[in-house]
Parts: sequence; structure tokens; C-alpha cells
Amino acid sequence: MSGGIARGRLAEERKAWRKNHPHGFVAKPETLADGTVNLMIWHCTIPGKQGTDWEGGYFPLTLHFSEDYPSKPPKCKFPQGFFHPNVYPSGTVCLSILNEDSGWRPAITVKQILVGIQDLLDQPNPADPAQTDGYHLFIQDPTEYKRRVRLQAKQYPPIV
Amino acid sequence: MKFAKKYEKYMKGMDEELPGVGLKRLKKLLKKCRSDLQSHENDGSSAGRCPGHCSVCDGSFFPSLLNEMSAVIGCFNEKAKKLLELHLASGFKKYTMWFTSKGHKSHGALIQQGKDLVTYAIINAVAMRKILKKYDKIHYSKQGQEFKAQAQSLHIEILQSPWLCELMAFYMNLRRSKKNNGAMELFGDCSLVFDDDKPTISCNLFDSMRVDISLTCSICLDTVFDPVALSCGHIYCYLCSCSAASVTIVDGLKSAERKSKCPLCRQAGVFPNAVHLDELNMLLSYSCPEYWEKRIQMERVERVRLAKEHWESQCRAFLGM
Repeated sequence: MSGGIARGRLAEERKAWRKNHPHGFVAKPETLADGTVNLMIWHCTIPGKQGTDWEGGYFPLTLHFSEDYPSKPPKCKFPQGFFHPNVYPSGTVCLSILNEDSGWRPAITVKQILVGIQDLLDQPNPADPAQTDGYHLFIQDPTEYKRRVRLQAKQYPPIV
Repeated sequence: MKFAKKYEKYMKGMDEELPGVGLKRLKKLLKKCRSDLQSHENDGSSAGRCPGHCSVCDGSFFPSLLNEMSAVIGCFNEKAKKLLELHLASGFKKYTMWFTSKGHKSHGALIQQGKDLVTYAIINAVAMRKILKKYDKIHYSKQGQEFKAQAQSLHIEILQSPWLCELMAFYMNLRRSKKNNGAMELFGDCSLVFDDDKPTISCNLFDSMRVDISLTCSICLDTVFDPVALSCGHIYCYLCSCSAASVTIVDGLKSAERKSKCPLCRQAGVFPNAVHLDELNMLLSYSCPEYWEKRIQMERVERVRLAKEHWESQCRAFLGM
């Protein structure tokens, strides 16, 4: 309804993130060619949780905010073809807190979204599959699933 | 002195008879229940559980407590509303109200009435908390806690009332103004605290209870501006709540659909009865003037833009474009 509220909220989110954010995570609004900042698209990095098969991977994620944010949740996208039972082939994340009709609340912050997605990586929700490949391996062949996850973690090393 | 006696003494000593919790009667019910339980345990039948004929569990305890809580919150809200209207009224309306309401001839009386109201709210909140705790202790259950949650969803939990927050702000506003230096303490310690630029009304209450009311709008993540409290008790900026309810500022929150949910607790139907927190607005404008001035400018621009947008869409609809 109001773009003013969306931009104001995102400016506050940016301020809060710069002041304090979880270790290993990155979240930055997009910088356009002319040097201006577009607050409506954020480029993020989610580290794989330590002690899991995702460890060592730094996974790129893009948050697309609409003019209706925070009344409507952002669209969160990994790269196309990302391997995970709850990530669509297009890369869009399927998570209850990002669903306007179920778990989304305007009080949820960018920090909470990113931590929620990090948790989802190692704790997929088989009740809500988004891709056949990841889902079938997770259910039928856990060993192969783990191998694929570790392989993917190697494909996304930390950006030095 | 035991709390029940203290409570009874307080309720009897009030100038006018106000609704309260029937603490004595409810405690008697629980006592009867306890003796029933013990006799059943001695028989060896259904140990630790309520017998079928238990006078508490057959539905007399919770319904009567529910009615009492509703009466208390109704009375508190109505009286707080009247008192604050009197304080905030201006011009002719103020004079009319001052003459029609007896006993409001001085600022001191106004403050005293505020003090009495808050004490009434808090002592009843403590009474409810204690009787529910006792229920759970006797029944080895969590029904008391569940009832408390139900009371919150029904908006009859007194510490959730937006008028309590308004009374705290009212007190701090009176304390701030020079002519009310001798204002009586409404609470043990009530203050507006800024922690990392985030404001909170912090208050130590009777019987070691503590209330902390966050004044950060969870929609814009900034200090609430022109605040409104939804009927679930959560506080937002007026503009933000209009956005969350998908209504224009011209139509206002009254026109919000029943299915619109609170951004924090996701409770539906909480927008139409939202309360404008004018005392709180006043308190914040005095406490952070630079921020307030900046925010006023921003809001003005945004409101003009939204109003313009609204009327343009109305004109288009009227012209069938």
C-alpha cells in the first residue's frame, strides 16, 4: 500500500544489521551502476551451520522486497537449481514464515529470516517439498543426499 | 497480612463499590475441591485427579472468574477513558466536562483518581494471578495457565489494557509539568527508558510485578509515532497500522476488515476498536523532540501523498475510468 513505509522499514533494518548481525552472515542492499542503493533488493550470504553437512558453504541468497513490505513477506531466492527439498527449481525458498497466509508477520526481521533459512538448510520439512530431486533423495537415500549436500557446500566456498 | 485479607480490605475501603474478583468465594471452592481430592486419594481411587462431582471442575470456577475479569476490565477501561478524556479535553468541552463531573475540581484530585485506578487494576491483576496459581497447584494441572492465555485472547487481561499504558504516560506527563511537582506516585517506579535508542515504559508494580511496554513499532522498527493500541494490546504507529490493515488513512482503522490480523500475534479483528494513545504521544513528543520534529515532517509528506492517492482513486472510480 505504501512504499514510504517499506523503504523506511528497510532503512531501519539496514541500520540494525550494521549495528549487530550473526557471525558469517552477509546482507547488503543492491548497489546500482550509478552508485545509488536500491533498498528493495538485498544480496545476502548464509553460512552453513557448523557440525552439519552444510558446514563450509557460503550460500548466496537474494531477497526481493515489494512496496507492500512488511505487510507482505520478501521473496527469497537461492541460485537456480539449488539442491534442497524445500527450494523450488527456480531457487525460491519454501518456508512457512515467508508465506503470507501462514507464518509471516510484519514483525519478522531480515535477521530472523536469514537465521530461519539457515536452520531450514539442515532441517528440511518433508511435508512441504518443493523439488523432486532433493525430496526423493532425502526420503529414500540419505547417504546420497548427504554426499550431494557436501558437494554443494564445496561449490560455494567463502568469498575472500 | 495474607493477600486475600489485604485484597478484601482494599476493596472494602474504596470510595465507591467497584467490581472485583470474588477471591474469598473462589478460595472456598478450591478448599472444598482439595478436601474432595484428599478423601478420594485416601480411598485409592483416581489419585491426583479430580473426582467427577468436583464443584470446581464442573464449571463453576472458570465461568465465574471469567465474568469477574470481564467486569473488572470493563470498569477499569471505562473509568480510565473518562479520566483521560477530562485531562486531554480542550476549550469549551473541557469546561463542560469539569462542571458535569463531580470531584474533579483540582489537578490533585485528577492525579489521585489516576493513582486509585492503577492500584485497582494492579491489585485485581495480582488477585487473578494468585487464584489461578492456586488452582493449578491443587489440581496438578496447567488449566490455570491455559485460562490466562484464553483471557488474553478475549482481551480481558488487565495488564494488557491500552488504558494502563495511557495512565502511565498520563502520570509521567503530569510529573513532568512544573505545576504538578507534588504529584503522588502512582507506581513504585515508572519511567521512560531509552535502551540503545529503543524506548520502553518500565514500571515496578505492586507485589513485585513488573511491566515493560516496548514503544518500538514492529512494522517500521522505529519509535511509535501517533501511536494506536489494537484491541489485543499491541502498539503501532497510526500510519503503520493503517498499512497493516490495508486501509487508507482517510477511511481509518474503523473500516478495517474483520479478517485483518495483528502484525505481532496474528489475532483477527483487532483493528476496528483500536485506541489512540494521546497521552503516550504527548510523552514521546516531550522526551525526544528532535526525532519528533523530523518524524512530523516525514509523516506530513507521507500523509499528503496517501490522501492524494486516495482521492485520485475515488475520482477515477466515480468517473468510471
